[in-house]
Amino acid sequence: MKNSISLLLILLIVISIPAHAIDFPTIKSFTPESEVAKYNPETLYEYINGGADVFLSFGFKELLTKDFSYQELQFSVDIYDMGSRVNGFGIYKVERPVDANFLKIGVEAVVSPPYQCLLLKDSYYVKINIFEGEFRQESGKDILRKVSAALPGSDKQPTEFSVLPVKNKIAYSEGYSREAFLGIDLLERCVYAKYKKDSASFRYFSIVSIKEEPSKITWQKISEKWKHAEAGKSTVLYKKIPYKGYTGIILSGDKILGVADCKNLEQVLDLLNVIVK
Amino acid sequence: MPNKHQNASKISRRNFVKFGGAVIAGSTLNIPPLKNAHLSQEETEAKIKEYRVLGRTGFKVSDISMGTTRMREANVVRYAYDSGINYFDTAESYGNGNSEKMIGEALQFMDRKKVFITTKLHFEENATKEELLERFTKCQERLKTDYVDALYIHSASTVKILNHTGFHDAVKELKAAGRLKHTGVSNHGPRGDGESMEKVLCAAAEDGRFDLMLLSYNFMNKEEAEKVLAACKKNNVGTTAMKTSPGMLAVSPLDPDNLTKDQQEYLDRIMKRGTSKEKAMARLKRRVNRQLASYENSKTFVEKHGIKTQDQLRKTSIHWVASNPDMHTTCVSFSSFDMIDMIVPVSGVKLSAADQQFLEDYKLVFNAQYCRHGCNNCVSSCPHQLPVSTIMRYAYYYEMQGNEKLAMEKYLKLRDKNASLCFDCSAPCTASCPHNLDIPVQLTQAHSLLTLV
Repeated sequence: MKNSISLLLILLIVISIPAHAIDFPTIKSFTPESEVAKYNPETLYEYINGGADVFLSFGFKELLTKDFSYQELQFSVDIYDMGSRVNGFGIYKVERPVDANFLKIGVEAVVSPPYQCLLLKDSYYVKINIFEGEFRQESGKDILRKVSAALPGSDKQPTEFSVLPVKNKIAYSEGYSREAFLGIDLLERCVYAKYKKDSASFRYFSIVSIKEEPSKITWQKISEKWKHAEAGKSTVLYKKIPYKGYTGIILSGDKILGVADCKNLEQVLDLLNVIVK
Repeated sequence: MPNKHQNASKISRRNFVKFGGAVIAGSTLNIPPLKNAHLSQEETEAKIKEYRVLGRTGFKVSDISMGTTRMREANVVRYAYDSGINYFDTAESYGNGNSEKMIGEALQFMDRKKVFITTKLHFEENATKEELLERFTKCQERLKTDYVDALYIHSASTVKILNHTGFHDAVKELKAAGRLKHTGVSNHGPRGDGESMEKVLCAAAEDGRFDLMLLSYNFMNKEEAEKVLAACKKNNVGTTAMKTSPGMLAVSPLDPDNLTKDQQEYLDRIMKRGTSKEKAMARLKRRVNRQLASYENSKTFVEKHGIKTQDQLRKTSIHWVASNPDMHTTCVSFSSFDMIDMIVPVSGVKLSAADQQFLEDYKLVFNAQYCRHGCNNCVSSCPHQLPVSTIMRYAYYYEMQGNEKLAMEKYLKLRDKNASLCFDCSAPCTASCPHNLDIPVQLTQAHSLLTLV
């Protein structure tokens, strides 16, 4: 059993390796209207100013940007290389409108008239800003498909999300918080999704383990600060989050799994029991 | 084909889309009514103890305020409010408008009249009044508020932008409609060919049309920022500090078989540009050695003050800023409840002599090691008017970022206005550096680096 888990983990890691850094791709049917401009972590603020901080917090690597025309539209295509698929997912979710019709183009995309389309593919977060011409939902989809086809890499959700249960999950509710998930400093690198079961709403999450900080170290750090409860043979760490009820985590194999937005400790234990199973 | 950098004059909608605000459709103000506000408070660990009058706005703001660039949970804003913080800073560009949305969400749990909400718009010279009005409307929709307390020109990099007709016309209309109360200017230091923070913000303080300034202020850039504070005090302009905690305490040594994440990324970046692994590793080694040498210099200081964590330096730095009564509020980018609990206790507490000494010592150790963001003081003493801080920044791109191509290209664009002029020059530029940097030595080294001579 242990061997197959290790093999699965190796496979997940291999699948998670991002596509290589790219030159600006050739996009079929688009007419270039400018040279490519490049920005790195040091110069990003020259392009997007105060908005740069959040990109840097998600591990931003490089921005390539270029203007195009296509049919009656003129627009810029900004390709942010976030270094990893999960970081790309994180920044896309930070910038994405909360309530929109999400599209299965790349990993996910959204057309947000009057002027903007957003796309996530592999580790690339793409912002398309329309600045000339009448822009409609259909033309947005067309542009997004063309950009997605030109980009290398995977159009699947990052593998880190595979540990979260599928049942009762609210579609498109997944996210990745690089720091202070739920407003708690100890909860770094959390993938999460929202769930609804009967009248209860809650979030499952998992802390992504990294080389510098394996799950056991993270668990140890949190266990020094949070309360302990027993759940069968396992220990659950839990904490009351201001305004949001209880959250709890459990160490399962080499993964830390958690649940948030619970009414009480009993609900924490019940829902953790489900995720561990 | 135009270069993208030179192509900023397209049309006004370009500003709109580039700097955000495209999230919510529609052009008329459509603010959903607030739900029944639940003003019950969470028991917070710490409370704000001091409120100061924010210049001529007359509003009494908490001496610690909340920045939202890294905020991901609306409940953290609510917690800050329950701790007594009543000034919240956001911008159209933060999270593509989602930071404003989170403040709007938290506002439902606040007494609107008791809080001061600011947002910012960044725009180019070609922006029109109509465009700015449309963008402001969307900010207001996201914030879910009938009025915004202050609108800042975001990162104004020149004095010229302070006179932007479209901005002032839009402000006039918004104030007349009761949708906006005050205006302000923010500056992080020169962008590209921009002017110094001191020049832009002192001009803005004297201008008379701006009620608020948001500036970089910390114990490392004290002299420059305090000139801005003096201009604000003279003109009764409100002041807010940002970028309040510079400095690093730890450096990881180089173990080639077990690189840290940062070191590995640095190596990958260099190799991505075609450098061999051996050469890239040699570069990394030089970089780490420089960092270690710098760290060694500070070791005595670190030991003397028993510094254990970066948080300790951060908290003391913020405390130092908040202790200046001419800085009306100190804006901290809070992302967690814990951070609020850590920082709020400095409110209203005088900085101890020991902490003051701690920062003075830190400054002595690190003062002459880096060229300050926002400072162009030496330019007037240079007979060639060299853009000193810009050249230093290019050298930084080359050395510390491993971005040789970009650095050399940018340096090449300076043409004859480069540091080769320093080789035969004896002008007393070092004397004009408030931080005692050995300017000629650093510039000639930068020239050699950026030209491979």
